[in-house]
Amino acid sequence: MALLDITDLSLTLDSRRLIDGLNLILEPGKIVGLVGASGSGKSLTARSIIGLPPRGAEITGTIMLDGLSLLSLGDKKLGQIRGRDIGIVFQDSAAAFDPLMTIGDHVAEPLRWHLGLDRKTARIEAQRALNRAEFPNDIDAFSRYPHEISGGQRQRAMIAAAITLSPKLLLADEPTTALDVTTEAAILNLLRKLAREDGMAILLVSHDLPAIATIADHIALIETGKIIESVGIQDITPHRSPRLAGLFASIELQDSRAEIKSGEVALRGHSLSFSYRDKRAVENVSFVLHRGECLGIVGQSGSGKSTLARIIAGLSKPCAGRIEAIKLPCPVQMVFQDPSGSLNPRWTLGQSIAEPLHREQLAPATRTQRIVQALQEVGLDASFAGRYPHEVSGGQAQRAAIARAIIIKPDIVVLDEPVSALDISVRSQILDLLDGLRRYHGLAMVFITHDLGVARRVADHLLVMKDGKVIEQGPTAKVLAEPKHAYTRSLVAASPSLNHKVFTPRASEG
Amino acid sequence: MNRPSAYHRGLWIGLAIIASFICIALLSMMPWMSDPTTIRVAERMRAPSFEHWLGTDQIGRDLLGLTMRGTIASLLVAIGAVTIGVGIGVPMGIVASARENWFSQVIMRANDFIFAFPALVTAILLHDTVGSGIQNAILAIGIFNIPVFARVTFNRSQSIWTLDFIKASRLTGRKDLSIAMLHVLPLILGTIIVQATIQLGLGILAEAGLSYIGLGVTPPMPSWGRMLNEAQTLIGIAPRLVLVPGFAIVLAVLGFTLLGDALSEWIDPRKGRG
Repeated sequence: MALLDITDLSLTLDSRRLIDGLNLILEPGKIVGLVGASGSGKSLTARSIIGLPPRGAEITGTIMLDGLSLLSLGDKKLGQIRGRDIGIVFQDSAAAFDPLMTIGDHVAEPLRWHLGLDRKTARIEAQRALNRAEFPNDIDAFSRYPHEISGGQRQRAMIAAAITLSPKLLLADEPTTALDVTTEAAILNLLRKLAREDGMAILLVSHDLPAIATIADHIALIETGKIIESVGIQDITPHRSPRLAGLFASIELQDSRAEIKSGEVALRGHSLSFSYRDKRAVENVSFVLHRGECLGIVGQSGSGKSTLARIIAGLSKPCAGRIEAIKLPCPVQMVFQDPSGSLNPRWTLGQSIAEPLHREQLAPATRTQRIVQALQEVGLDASFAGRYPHEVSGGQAQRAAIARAIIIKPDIVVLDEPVSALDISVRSQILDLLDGLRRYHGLAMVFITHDLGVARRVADHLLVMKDGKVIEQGPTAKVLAEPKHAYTRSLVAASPSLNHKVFTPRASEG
Repeated sequence: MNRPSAYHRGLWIGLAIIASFICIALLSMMPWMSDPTTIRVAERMRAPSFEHWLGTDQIGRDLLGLTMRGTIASLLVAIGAVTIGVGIGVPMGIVASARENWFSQVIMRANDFIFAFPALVTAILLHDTVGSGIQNAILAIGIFNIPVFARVTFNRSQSIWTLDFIKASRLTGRKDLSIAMLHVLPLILGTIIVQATIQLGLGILAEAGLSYIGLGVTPPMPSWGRMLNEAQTLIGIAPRLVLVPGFAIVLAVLGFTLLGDALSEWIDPRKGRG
C-alpha cells in the first residue's frame, strides 16, 4: 500500500493555477525524485504536503498519508504530523536554524515538543539521531551553534532533527543544492541509507537531475504544475520518457574541446596570495591566461577559487604577488553565480546592460543600438531591454548579466559559477552561448566552477585548488583523465555529472 | 495588487487620521478663526457650550481652539526632527556601510554614543545654549533621530553593498559615491520612508513630553504637552482639560504608527504573509 498518495492535486493562487491536477505515489522505503525547473511547482507541492501552502492559496484534490487525509486536517493536527510523521529537510540550513540555539537543542526540540521528554532523555535520543545522521562524533553538538559548523555538518544536523522521531516520510527540498560535490555525495548516500535501513519514504525535490539520479528509485518530472513524466529509474529510455532521456542527454558532455592555441598571453598571475583576517584564502598561486583561452578553476567551497576570481577581476588587491596584463582597453568584466543578485532589481535589464557604457559619451540612439546588439548576442530580443529582473527567468537574467559583461568588448571575462544556480536544461544553453562568444570575440575567460562536468566542457586548461593552493594544473582532458593528486581523484570520483555509469547505461538500454 | 485587507485598513485609517490633523492645523491658522491664545479671565472654566464647544480653561482660553492650534507645534517639531535625522543620519549610514574600515567604525560608534542619550537628556543639555522653545525641542528630538536613521540605513545598505551588481558596477569604473546614489539609496528608500513615518509619531510623543516638563514649546504657542501640564491640578474639577489634549496625542501617534506599519508590510510582504 502506498504511504503517500497524492490524487488530482491543484493549487490556485491569485487566480493562477500553479499546480494542475498532480498525481504522485510514494511507497515505504522508496526514494522518489521530484525534478523540475524553478517555478515548475515542485516546492509548492512539497509545501502543500506539509500543510504550509502560501497564504490565500486554494487547494483541491486529496493528499493521503498512511490512510489519513492531510488536506482535511486542522492546523493543530497538522502540527502534530509535521515532525512526527513527516520529517523535513530544507535547502538553506543556515536559515532553518535559530542562531541562538545549539545544534543539539535543535535536534532535541521535536522530542521534547512531540513526546514531552525531559531534557536529559531528549538529549540522549538526540545524540542517537545525530549519530544516525553521521554527524561527526568529535563535535559536541550541545555546545556548538549553527554558525560554528560547516554547511555539510549543518545539513546532517538538519537531517538528524528530521529523523529523531522516525517519521514515515522524509521530505527533502533541494537538500544538497548549496553543497559542494563531495559533501553532496555524502549527504545523498546518507539519505539512501535511511530509506534502505529504516524503510523511510523520501520525497527528494530538486532541480539537480544528476544528484537525484544517483539515489532515486523513481523520477517524476514536473512542469507548470503537472507531472509530465513519471518513471522508474530503470525505465528512462528515449522511448518511454523522451523528456527525461533528453535532459540526461543534455548533461552528457561531449569532449569536443578544440586544441589549445598557443596565443598571446592575456594575463599572468605571479605567486598571488591573499589573507583575510589571518586566514590564508589564496596562497602562492601562479597561472597564465592566453588570449581566446578558457582557464577553469575548480575546487570545493572554501578552496579560495572565488577569492582568486575577485583578485583577477581587480575587485580585491592581492596581499602578495602581482598580476601582469597586456594593455587592456577596458577593465576585466565579471559574471556572477546568482543572476538575481547580479542585477539591480529596480533597474530594467536595458539599464543594467548599459551601465558599463557610462564613461562613453553616447547619443541616446547609439546607446539603444548598443543595448539591442548586446541583447542579440546573448540570444535575447530587443523587448527584454524594458523588462525587470523579476519578470524574466533565471537563465534569461544570466544572459542579461553576460550581455552587460560583453557590451564594452572586454578582452577578459571572469565567470564565477555562472551556471550553478541554473536549471540543467538552461545550463547547457548558457555554456554554448559562452563558447560562441569566446570564439567570436576571441575572449579570454576565467571560469570558476565546482562542477567538473562543466569544467570539462568549457575549459582548455584546469587549475585545481584546495585550501587556497593550486594542487594540480594542466590541460583539462589530461587532468581529468589522469589526475595525479589524490584530491583531484576524489573530486573526479564524486562528481555525478562525470560519472557516466550512474545513469548512462540505463538511458541507452531502450 | 491583490493584498489582504488587514493592513489596507491600517493604511487608510492612518492616512485619514494624519490628513485630518493636517487639515485641522491649516484650519486653525485661518484668519477667521478667533485667536485661541487670547486670555479672558472672566470666562474661565466654562463648561462646553454653543460658544465654546469644549468649554474654556482656567484662564478663559477656548479648549477646542487651543487643541486645534496645538497640532501645529506637534507637526512642526516632528517634521523638523525627522528632517534633521534623515538629513544627517542617512548619509552617515551610507558612508559607513560602503567600506569596512576604521572610519565607518568611528561613525557608527559615535552614533551609538548619541543613541545613549534620550531626547530628554539632550533637551536639558541644549537648554543652556539654545534656550527653551520650539527650536530646542526640534533639535533635541532631531539629534536623537540621527542614530536611528544612521543605523537603519547602515543595516539595510550594508547587505546591498555586498551584492554582485555592486561589484559589477565597480568593474565599470564607478566610485562609491555614484554607486551609493544610483544603486544603494533607491533600494533603501522604502525603509527610510517607513522609519520616517514611525519617527514622526514618536516625535509627536516626545514633543508632548518635553513641553510637559517645560523644555519644549513655550507660551503663548499652544502645545498639547503644556496643556496637560497646566491642567494637571484641575483633573478632578474639569477632566476634559486633560482628556482632550491627551486624546489628541494618542490619536496622532496612532495615525503615524498605523501608516508606518502598513507601509512596512507593503515594502516587505514577508512580515505580513507567511
